[in-house]
Amino acid sequence: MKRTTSAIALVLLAMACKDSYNISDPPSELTLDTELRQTIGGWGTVPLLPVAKQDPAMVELGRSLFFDKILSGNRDVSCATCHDPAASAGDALSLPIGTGGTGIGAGRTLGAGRQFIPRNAPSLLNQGLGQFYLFWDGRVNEEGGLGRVKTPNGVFLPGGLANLLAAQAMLPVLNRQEMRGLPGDRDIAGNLNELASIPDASTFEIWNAAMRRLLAIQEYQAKFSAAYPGTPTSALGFQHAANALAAFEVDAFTRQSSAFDRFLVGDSRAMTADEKRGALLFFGKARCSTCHSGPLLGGQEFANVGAPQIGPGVGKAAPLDIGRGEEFPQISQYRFAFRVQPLRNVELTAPYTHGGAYATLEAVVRHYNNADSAHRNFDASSLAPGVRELYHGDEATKRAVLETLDFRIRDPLRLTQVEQRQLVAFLKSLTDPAARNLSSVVPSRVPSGLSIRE
Amino acid sequence: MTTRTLGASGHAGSWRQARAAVWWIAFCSAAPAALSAAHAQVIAVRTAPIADGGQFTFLPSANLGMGGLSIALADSTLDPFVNPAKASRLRGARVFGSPAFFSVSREAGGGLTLPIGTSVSSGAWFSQFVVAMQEVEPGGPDDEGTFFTGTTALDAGMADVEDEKPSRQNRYLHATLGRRVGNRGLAIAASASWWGLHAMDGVELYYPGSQSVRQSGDALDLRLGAYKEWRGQSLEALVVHNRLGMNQDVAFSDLFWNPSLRQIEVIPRTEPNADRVETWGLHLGYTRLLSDSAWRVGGSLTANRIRQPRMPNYELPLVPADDGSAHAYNLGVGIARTGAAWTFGVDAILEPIWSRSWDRAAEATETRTGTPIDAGATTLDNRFRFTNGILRGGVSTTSELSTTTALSFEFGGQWRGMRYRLEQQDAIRESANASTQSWNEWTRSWGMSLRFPGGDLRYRGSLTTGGRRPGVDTPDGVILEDALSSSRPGFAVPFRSFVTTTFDDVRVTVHQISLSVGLR
Repeated sequence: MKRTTSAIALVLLAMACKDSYNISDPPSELTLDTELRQTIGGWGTVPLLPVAKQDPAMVELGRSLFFDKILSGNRDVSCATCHDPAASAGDALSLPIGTGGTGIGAGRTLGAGRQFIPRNAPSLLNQGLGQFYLFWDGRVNEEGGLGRVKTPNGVFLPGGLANLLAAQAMLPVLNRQEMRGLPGDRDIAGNLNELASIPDASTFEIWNAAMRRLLAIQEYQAKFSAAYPGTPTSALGFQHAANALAAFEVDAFTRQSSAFDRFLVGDSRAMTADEKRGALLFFGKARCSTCHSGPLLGGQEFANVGAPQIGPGVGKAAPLDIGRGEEFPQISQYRFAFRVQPLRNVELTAPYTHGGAYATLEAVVRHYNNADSAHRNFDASSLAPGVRELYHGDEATKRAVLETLDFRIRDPLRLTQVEQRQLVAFLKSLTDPAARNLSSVVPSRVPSGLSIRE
Repeated sequence: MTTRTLGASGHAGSWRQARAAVWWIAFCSAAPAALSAAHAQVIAVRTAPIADGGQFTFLPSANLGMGGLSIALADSTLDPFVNPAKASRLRGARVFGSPAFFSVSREAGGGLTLPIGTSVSSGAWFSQFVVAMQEVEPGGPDDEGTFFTGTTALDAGMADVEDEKPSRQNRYLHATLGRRVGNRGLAIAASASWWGLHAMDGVELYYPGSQSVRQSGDALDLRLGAYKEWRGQSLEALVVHNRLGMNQDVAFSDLFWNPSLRQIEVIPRTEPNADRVETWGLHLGYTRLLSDSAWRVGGSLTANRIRQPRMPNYELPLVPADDGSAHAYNLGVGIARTGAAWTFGVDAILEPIWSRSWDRAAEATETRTGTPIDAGATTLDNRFRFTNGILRGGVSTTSELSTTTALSFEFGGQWRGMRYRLEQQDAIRESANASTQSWNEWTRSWGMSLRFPGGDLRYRGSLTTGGRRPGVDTPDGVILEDALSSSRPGFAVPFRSFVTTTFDDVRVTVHQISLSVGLR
């Protein structure tokens, strides 16, 4: 008995000499979950509620308008030309090609005498999730408060617009490169483009002319009546069309059920270990969340990330594009700053940056890993012919861009290859599987009878 | 059951279903071991160093100050609650009261219990009755989670929740009835203990971010014991059935981005949880005097079969499981020496435990590589293998103040070492992994007793370290209004976003004062 007791006591004493709490080999994924949830919480990235159900009649009217080339002066492009469901509501091009171009998607080519639209066409995926800034330079916004829409200089919007997305929908029909065409243009039937002949400043006249086109078609009259019961045709303005377009875009392009979204609402198994590790990098070492934060992982600020200067340029700075600095020249940090894009479904919205400089997420992550070096050594040969010639790779431009490079990425991130891969894995976890195939939103025909796809 | 999905091919399922339960916390926080107030016969299965707050350490114990010695050294006041047949050693009639206080540092819990009881022995029959009321303080700061201000939506969301003030009071009833059989020192007895529960210590802490936890349930502990003494030897046998049924309605205020309103919105949510634990146990104990008659040695064997058919979905996602079971054993030896002035004792206990918990697919799903998994199939299998150890020691010294009064001082300590290996098989990920964890807990105890004609007055205290409690950490001075004003409209970073879950070292302190008076 005595020896047995002594032996047990010795064993127990030996156990007592171990560390007081030793997590020698913790279940790694379990620890990851806890750490990740805490990390995410610090950046205001909360789950998303569903968007409000849109009026079906508005959605149907908007669907027709979205795919109908009748809204373009030359009847050759529609909203879907640059926001093609087959290209995840973008166009898969570095720089968009508006009216006068031929082909669709990545195969679209410039028409004679036309030029690229200066900035990459953003995907319309999840644009209805309540953003406060639209366009790369945020020139349509509600930073003055909800319902107080701010628009580009010289554009006054009519009342009755439902939201920021509707306000945005008022603008492409005014833009000569995108939809309206140039003076003297003839449409695809050889008729004079009456929209193009209206002076640029006469915005209401342009919108009224577009509405005359629409309401000349009986089917559109019926669709407007269904969407706006009780509103006489004579009282309909282009803002009614814009509201319908916005309703359709919200209904058709809201895709917010990614693995990350499921993780956010408690499903710890929605993401793989690599995706979670990538998320930890995103919200930590890689500093992505210092810009891409909040519920939408971006969309609320502007940054000069050292994106290569590509395109014909915008405004007074042309052929350069100084982004938000064009509107706020007095604020140096806005020079070459563009909107921080919301990131849900980012996997599907290549090419990336305002000039469409990078074709893959891997390339984007490499860029951020050392933005200074990536900007200096950008290889324009990866760009499509035509766009390649619009790359401004001279030393003066590079210096100018890097001069106001965002302070958060001035130092290299020093991400390893594995970390870069994990970061990309996380970015891909932001994809809603339902966003991969948007073909169901495409109508079989439009009221004008024009072709939906060439 | 939980819903498990993977990657793009999966489908969302219900995230609330998917929130996994935690096997270890279920056993730790609502363990019938704690409820039994007799810790030797119902074995606690713990897979993390969650501190046992001492909520149920209130029945008077003579040995608590000596590290809780229980094998070779009889505990004259606690033993009758452990094995009702041991109440046969009580003579005459007595009443007692033993107010007990417990507190967990870092504001992680605390409470007060006021039990009163009586024991009566008449002829061959003996009995005990105890009633107790208990008030338990919620773990964590009182105003935790009530810091949202700034928007109508937030205020409206909070209003419903703040009005709820769940009861924090528990009730306890205990009855023992036994009979001495013949004149050969044999006694048999049965006891029943019932808890009406509205507050289990620390449960709120397992739901970090919750606004309140409304608990209700009860626990029943039934014991049938036999005890025999003969020629310096004793033998006991005990069968225990212990069952716990708790419902926990947890109120949350979830934060969501509302695309339509374009603001972060607080949406109240109440999540019902249930905790069901059933334990069957068998305990055998033997002691005998050694030849010099001052030394006593003893041994004990306890076996438990534990089932947990329902587990709460605690907010600390560690080891997902729907339900589980365990086989737990407790083998102990002890030695004690009782002298006129000094008493000394040591217990050494080995606790091997085999535990398993599992997670089932709520609906048909598939593995990472696309192999179908039927609804109801096991998707995660957790197997624990514990090798725990307990070492207790204590000493007491008694001074005769007069022929009828004596003063005693007790000191002691306990080391509890936990070590386990977890092997997990994940059918969805088609992966397996293993991990090992261990930790130690130390208890220092002390006491003082005054024996006087017709009764005794005791004070016992203990301090346990090595355990931890989940908590939340919030930075000073951050409120939602600040965040709102410093951000883009509607893109405020909510206060809760700054809250991080912590797992803090805590100290558990128990104080117990008992007064026992004989009735003439």
